[in-house]
Amino acid sequence: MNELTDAATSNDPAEGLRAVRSLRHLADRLEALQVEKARAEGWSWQAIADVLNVSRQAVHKKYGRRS
Amino acid sequence: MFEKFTKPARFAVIDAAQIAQGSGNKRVDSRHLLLALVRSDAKVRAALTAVGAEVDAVDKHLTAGVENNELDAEALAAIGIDLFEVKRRVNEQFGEDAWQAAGGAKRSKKQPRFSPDAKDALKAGLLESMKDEGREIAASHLALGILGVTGPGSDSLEEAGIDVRALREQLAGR
Repeated sequence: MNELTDAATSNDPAEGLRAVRSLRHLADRLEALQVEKARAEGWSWQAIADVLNVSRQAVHKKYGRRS
Repeated sequence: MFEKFTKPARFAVIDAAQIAQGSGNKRVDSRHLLLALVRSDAKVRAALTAVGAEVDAVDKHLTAGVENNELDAEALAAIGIDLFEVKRRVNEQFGEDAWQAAGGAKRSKKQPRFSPDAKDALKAGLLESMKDEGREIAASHLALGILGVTGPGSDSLEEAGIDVRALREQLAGR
C-alpha cells in the first residue's frame, strides 16, 4: 500500500501523464460499453447525449453506425 | 516496400496491424510485429522454445504489453485505480470479453501507421535478409530485425526474462 501512495506522490510527470492517457482511454472504453447498453435498452440518442452532456449529433456520429 | 517479403512475412505485418487496431493502438510498433510472428511463425516459436521460453507465456506477456500501450496499469494504480478490478467488473456486468471487445470497437477504419521502432525493425529485417544473400525477406529475417533494434518488441522479451541474444543466434542458425 505504501508503494502506491509513494507512486501517487512521486510527482513524476511521466507517470502522471501516462495516468492521464490511460484515463482517457479507459473513459472511451466505458463510454462505448454504456452507450451500447443504453441503446439496447431503448434509450434515444438525445437521452444519451443529455447525460453525457454533449450534442445528440456528437453521440450519433461516434456510435450511430454500429447500433 | 513489402514486395520483397515472403507471404508469411507479409501476413505477419498485416496481422500486426490488426492486433494494433484491435487494441486501439494508433501505431504498429515492434511489439505488435513480434506478437504476430510469435502467433504465426513456426521458426520463431521453435527458437523461443529452444532458449527455454514458453510460447504461450510469451504470447500472453506481449498481449498484455500491447494493451498497456493505451492503458498503463501502474500509472493508474498510482492514482488509485485498480485496472484489474475495473476489467473484472466490466466483464461481470457486460459479459465475458466485453472489455476486450470495447477496446477495438470504435476505432477508425484507417490503417494504423508504423512507429519509428517498427520502421527500424523492418529495415533491420531487410539487412538480415541481405546477409543470407536471399532476395526475399522471410518471417525469420523480420524477427531478427525486431530483436536487433531497441523498442517495445525486444524490451518486452527482456522483461519476460528471455535471453534476446541467444534467441537471435537461434533464429540466425548460428
